[in-house]
Amino acid sequence: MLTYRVRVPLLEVSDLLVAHDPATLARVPVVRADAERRLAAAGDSRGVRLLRSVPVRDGGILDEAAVDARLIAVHTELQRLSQELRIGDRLAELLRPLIAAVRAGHPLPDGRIRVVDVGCGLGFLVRWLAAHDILGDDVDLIGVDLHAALVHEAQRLADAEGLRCRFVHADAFRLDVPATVFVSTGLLHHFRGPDLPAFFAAQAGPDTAAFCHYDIATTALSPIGAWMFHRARMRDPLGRHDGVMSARRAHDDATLLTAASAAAPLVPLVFEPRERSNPFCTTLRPVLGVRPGLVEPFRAGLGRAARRLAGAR
Amino acid sequence: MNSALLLLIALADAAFAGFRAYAGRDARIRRRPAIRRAALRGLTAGVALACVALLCAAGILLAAADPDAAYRDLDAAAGRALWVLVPYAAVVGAALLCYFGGPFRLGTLAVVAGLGPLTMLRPVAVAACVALAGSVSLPAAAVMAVGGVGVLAVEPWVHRRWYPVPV
Ligand SMILES: C[S@@+](CC[C@H](N)C(=O)[O-])C[C@H]1O[C@@H](n2cnc3c(N)ncnc32)[C@H](O)[C@@H]1O
Repeated sequence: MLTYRVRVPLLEVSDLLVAHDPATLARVPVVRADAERRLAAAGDSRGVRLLRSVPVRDGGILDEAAVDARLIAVHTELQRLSQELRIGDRLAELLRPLIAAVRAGHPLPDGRIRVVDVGCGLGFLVRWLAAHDILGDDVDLIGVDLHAALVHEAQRLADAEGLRCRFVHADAFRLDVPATVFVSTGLLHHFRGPDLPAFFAAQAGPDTAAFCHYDIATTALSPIGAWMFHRARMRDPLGRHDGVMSARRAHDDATLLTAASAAAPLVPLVFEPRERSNPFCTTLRPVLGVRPGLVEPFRAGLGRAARRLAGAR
Repeated sequence: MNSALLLLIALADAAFAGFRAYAGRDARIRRRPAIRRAALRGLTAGVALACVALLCAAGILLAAADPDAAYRDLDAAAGRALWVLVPYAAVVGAALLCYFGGPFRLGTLAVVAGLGPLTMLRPVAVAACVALAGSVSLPAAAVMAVGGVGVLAVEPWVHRRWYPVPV
């Protein structure tokens, strides 16, 4: 008998819990049964069970307050993984020479360099950079997310520690003040199909000097590693489920390089691509886009680490 | 002697369990005082649970016809448990050194290949200790089982008591 498998989309439950009106960014009610149907169609019975653990109010609509509390808890657990996997140090290794190149060679109308974390969640990246005073006083650190509850929590955390950074509830590509450098973590795999090149194309404006987006490296180790790590370090089964899905959804180096070329004239690069890194030492790696005139100064600033860059000379 | 070393390892483990019970519940960046407090809470829970195991051991010694022989059995069982726990502790120690002292790529290696899998192997290590104690005597296995359950209970206890929601 001939059998064949239909490719079903891999879904993360947390992506189905919130929806926003793209124009106004207002929160849109989510009917749990609709989300359940999507997970069921994807053959994800575990996801369906997880979704059923989220309370609903009248009309079978997901209870927003419960969703927000759950997602803040999941993101707090997720931050522990970012900390253990040294995402702050990794970003700092690249941002230091990148910002130095921008300072020396990119027009800055008001003299300020704005680093914008797209989809910042609880803003770990931005708060870590601020707490360690990595980039200098001419750099504004801004975290942006579509999800208001996460943005408020990020700002509360920053205020609690008196950190010099801010968080905005907005679409990162429609800010009042333009970004100089876009960064992100764990965001790229959320964009599927044509949304991926569209995400990069949105960063090709004249104000953008560079972008640097970290996501899970697709190595032989990543699916089992993600399972093990989320099991060992996360308690909420929703976070565990989505963590493993993220690793399965992650894009490989070639896909990212191709998609990032949609941000031309920015030059697409991958740091620590699969063949130039040890999967035990590098679980997240970034795709970058750099203004042509900044590529050489950036490489020079990186020093020996520049040998880990791939994509263009 | 073996029993004392075993107790020491169990208490160190309890402090780490206290840290794990807290980890993932605090999204601030500077957390040293909070981490110290969590480790202390784990240690306190560990001391309380170790007392239960020590009371069991005391009961066995009091009820034994030959308390000296019973004590020798208990200490020998602790010695066998150390066959597992000393290498385990040594690997954890080495991984922690790499994590805190090494460059960040080595730190990632220490987490991915060391600390993460070792956390998952903890219950297996505890079960191995009980089995090894069982190869000495049944009462020793019983004390080890009580102690082992205590070791595994520290983290969920501290988590539920102090860190049920993000701080
Ligand atoms: C999985 S989270 C990433 C969380 C965070 N970076 C971390 O590492 O924990 C993805 C987030 O990106 C946000 N997002 C997606 N597109 C965005 C955009 N154009 N502007 C702002 N936020 C966006 C979503 O609201 C969602 O909260």
